[in-house]
Amino acid sequence: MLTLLRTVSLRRLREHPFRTALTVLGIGLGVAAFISVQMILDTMSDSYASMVETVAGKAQLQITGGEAGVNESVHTLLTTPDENGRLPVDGVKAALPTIQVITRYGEDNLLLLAVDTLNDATARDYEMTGEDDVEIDDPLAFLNSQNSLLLNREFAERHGIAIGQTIDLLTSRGKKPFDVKGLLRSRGTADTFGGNFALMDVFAAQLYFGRQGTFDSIDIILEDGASADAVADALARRLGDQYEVARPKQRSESVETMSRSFTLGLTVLSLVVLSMAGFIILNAVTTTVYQRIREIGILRMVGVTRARIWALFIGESIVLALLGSAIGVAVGYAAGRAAVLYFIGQTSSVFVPTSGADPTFHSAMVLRGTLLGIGVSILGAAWPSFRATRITPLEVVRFGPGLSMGRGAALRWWTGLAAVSAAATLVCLSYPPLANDLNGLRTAMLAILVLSVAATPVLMNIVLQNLSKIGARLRTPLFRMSSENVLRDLGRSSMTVAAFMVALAVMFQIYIFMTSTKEETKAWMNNALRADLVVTSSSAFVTRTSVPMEASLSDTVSAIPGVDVVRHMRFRNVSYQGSRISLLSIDFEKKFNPDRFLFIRGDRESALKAFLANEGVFISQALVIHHPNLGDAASISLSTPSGKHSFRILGVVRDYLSDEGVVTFNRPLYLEIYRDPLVDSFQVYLLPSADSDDVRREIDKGSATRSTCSF
Amino acid sequence: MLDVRDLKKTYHQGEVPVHALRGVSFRLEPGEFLAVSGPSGSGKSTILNLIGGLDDPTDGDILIDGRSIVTLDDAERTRMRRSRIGFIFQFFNLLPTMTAIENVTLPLLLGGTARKSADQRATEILERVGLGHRLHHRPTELSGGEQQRVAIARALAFDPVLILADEPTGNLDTKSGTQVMEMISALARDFGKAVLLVTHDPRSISYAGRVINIVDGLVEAA
Ligand SMILES: Nc1ncnc2c1ncn2[C@@H]1O[C@H](COP(=O)(O)OP(=O)(O)OP(=O)(O)O)[C@@H](O)[C@H]1O
Ligand SMILES: [Mg+2]
Repeated sequence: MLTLLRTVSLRRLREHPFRTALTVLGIGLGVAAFISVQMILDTMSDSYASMVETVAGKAQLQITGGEAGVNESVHTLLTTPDENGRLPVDGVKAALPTIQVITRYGEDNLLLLAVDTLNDATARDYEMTGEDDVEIDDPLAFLNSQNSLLLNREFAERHGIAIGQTIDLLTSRGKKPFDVKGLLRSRGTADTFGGNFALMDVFAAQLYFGRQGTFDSIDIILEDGASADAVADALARRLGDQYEVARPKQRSESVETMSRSFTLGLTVLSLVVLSMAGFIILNAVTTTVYQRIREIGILRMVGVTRARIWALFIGESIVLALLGSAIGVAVGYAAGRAAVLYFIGQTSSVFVPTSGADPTFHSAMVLRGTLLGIGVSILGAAWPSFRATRITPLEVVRFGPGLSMGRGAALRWWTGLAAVSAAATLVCLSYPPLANDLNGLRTAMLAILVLSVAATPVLMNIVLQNLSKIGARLRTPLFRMSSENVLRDLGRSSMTVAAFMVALAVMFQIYIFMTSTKEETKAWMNNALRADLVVTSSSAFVTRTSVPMEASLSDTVSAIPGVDVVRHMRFRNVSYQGSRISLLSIDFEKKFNPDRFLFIRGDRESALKAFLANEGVFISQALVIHHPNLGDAASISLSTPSGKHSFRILGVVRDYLSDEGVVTFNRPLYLEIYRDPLVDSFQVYLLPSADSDDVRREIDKGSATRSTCSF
Repeated sequence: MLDVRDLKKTYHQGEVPVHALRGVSFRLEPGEFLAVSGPSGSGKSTILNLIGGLDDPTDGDILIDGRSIVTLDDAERTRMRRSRIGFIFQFFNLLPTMTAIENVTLPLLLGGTARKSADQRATEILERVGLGHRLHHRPTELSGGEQQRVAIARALAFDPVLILADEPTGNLDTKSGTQVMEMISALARDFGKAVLLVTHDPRSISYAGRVINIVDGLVEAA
């Protein structure tokens, strides 16, 4: 078998360097697309998992409370000993509160872990060196004031930050100064998030990051010999189903690190590229088989069995697949790395933030990519290889060497390619996350590109046939024969070229998809948070729901000189047909900004008018993805305090607030139906003359007792 | 050793069935050199292809060493072709990507012979047909006579009992043709192979020990 591969296949492949190269590149492209997409996805989930796990330190269990966080009282409950000095839940040695926020320092993301400075050494080790590189025994003791901070040494060096310096970090109250009290060695917990790590006091973090009265998690250290499962059960019983008790690993696995649609969208696209590789192989092998009928016949004559003929052509495609995969792995790694650095290195709300420093890449990916490349190649080669086994030596014996000029690739393969491309286009068009903008130029361009590429071979075939008819009239046999051959060769590679173009087009679409997701998220956030100041009891860039405030609080804010308009924003999660969707209401009519709404369905003008007239709601694209029947429904029925209420759907809009879907109300409509006086934040618009710092100070002063803050 | 019994072959291509063979019988013994002659289209090549297991007869039987090959399945027939039959054709039918020696070793390697002894044997045979100096040349780098000698060497590689030759000199000049015919007749005379030669070239026929004449798919009475 290897002999045949060496003496026949490899030499044949070398005889057609252009076709071979094109085929190898086609497979390479497919494998590269797959590998880079896997890298992007794995990097995101891995960095999340490693963040969760390293941050957990030695804690065997973690108590979390979903978006609402864990109430302080849970911590008090778990840490208050009875009269015998024993903690209320057996097996618990320590219960340590934490808050984790990703904040920004300049252009960089920084993971801020806030811990109980008195007790946290039980869970996590920190190594700190002082100014003269002297080891410091108790680093946590340095976090002795509210704005003290310990910083990862490498991060500090990268940004030229020295001990004793004050740095500004984004908090729920806007940019705030923090004193760098020491530098942590980049090891263990402090190495999390690519080393973009800072440590602070948990009670200070509550204030800075809008976690009044709550923590993000309570980490449990077990007594020696205590069973984690038993303690978890006991804790769960004690705390009720409002809280989740899980091992850190379970937690990192259960959390969806990015939107499902994003994951699926990317994966589908990369598989489309891979399937194009299958087409390229199919075409290449079909062509070879036709060109090598004679050779196959001779092989059969001298004693090569059908099985071996099949294996020979499959083997040939595996050789091509291996070469292609090698290229694909290299290119895919480079592309994946670049994509991770470019797209994910910066936080945006749909992505899990990673530092982007080290993209996930492992041998399993190489193996999977290569196996897929080989698999697709075998699939593509299977049919023409089978056809090869049907060639009998008789054809060789009966006819002379002129036989090798067989027919070109059959029209039906072209039709197949056209069908697959059309299907790919359909997927791109109908699958919402891929159709970034249904009305958009981009999608139209993609459709035209893919369809025309798919149609190319068919058109080419028709043109070539007509050309050969003209050629046939020329009556010069030699010229006629050579022109036929040229036309046939053109016809043969046209499908490969077409498949190639489809693959490239889809690759391009992946790029567009990622860029636009990023850009549109940014644009949306800019639009959504356009207010000059946002007064909130929680930080705006954390997904947790905030602690609601009373609407009347806005009066104090409105009274502050320089404040133009205060809008009320209410954001709450409700259950809708088994999933948790979000309701958003703002008094949009104040400072109305029509650009905030990115329409996917609905007539913009009339929809906005009806919306401001409180005639109905907007639903988000994500909601339609999860509840396709809403796609062209006229209304949506929601539970309200006064029973089921049906709201007219005025339009489908893009909204990244929730992956599960958002229903947007103008505030008067929401108030009327839900009779809910609470708000989550005030969006404060200033007069042009006002100084935002002054106003912010006023707000902070005035509302300090109500623990509101702003940024 | 070769026993052809009432062999019939009808081709159904197009509207009218073509009765290429209408009941041909003959026997061939080791060391015997039989020539099959006849006009074009009389069915000569068809006989050869059926004996070589390249095609299925419509009726009749072919026995090699007492065993019918008609009932063998494709894989068994392929193996039989590899080990017991040597083919020599008008159009040489060498594999264009392979050198002379690779063409000759191929059936051996397919049959499981180790590479080293296969190379040894191929070299030996190629030297015997006078091509010791052309071992590593591809078919396109050889003359017609040389190519046909490589084909003979390949036919002999597995030391077959039966040699089937279809117009082996059809594409050769007189000198090369004579050379090739000398070799083929020597196979029967000196090596005891059964040789079946299909030709309508009188000069080639003259090498044969016995001649049968096919006309319209039937053996013409001598
Ligand atoms: N595969 C086939 N399909 C249809 N008809 C065939 C096939 N092979 C041979 N024939 C027909 O069978 C008849 C005998 O063909 P064959 O090749 O045996 O003749 P031949 O005696 O070898 O002629 P020549 O001396 O020209 O080579 C011819 O009429 C030919 O057209
Ligand atoms: Mg013939």
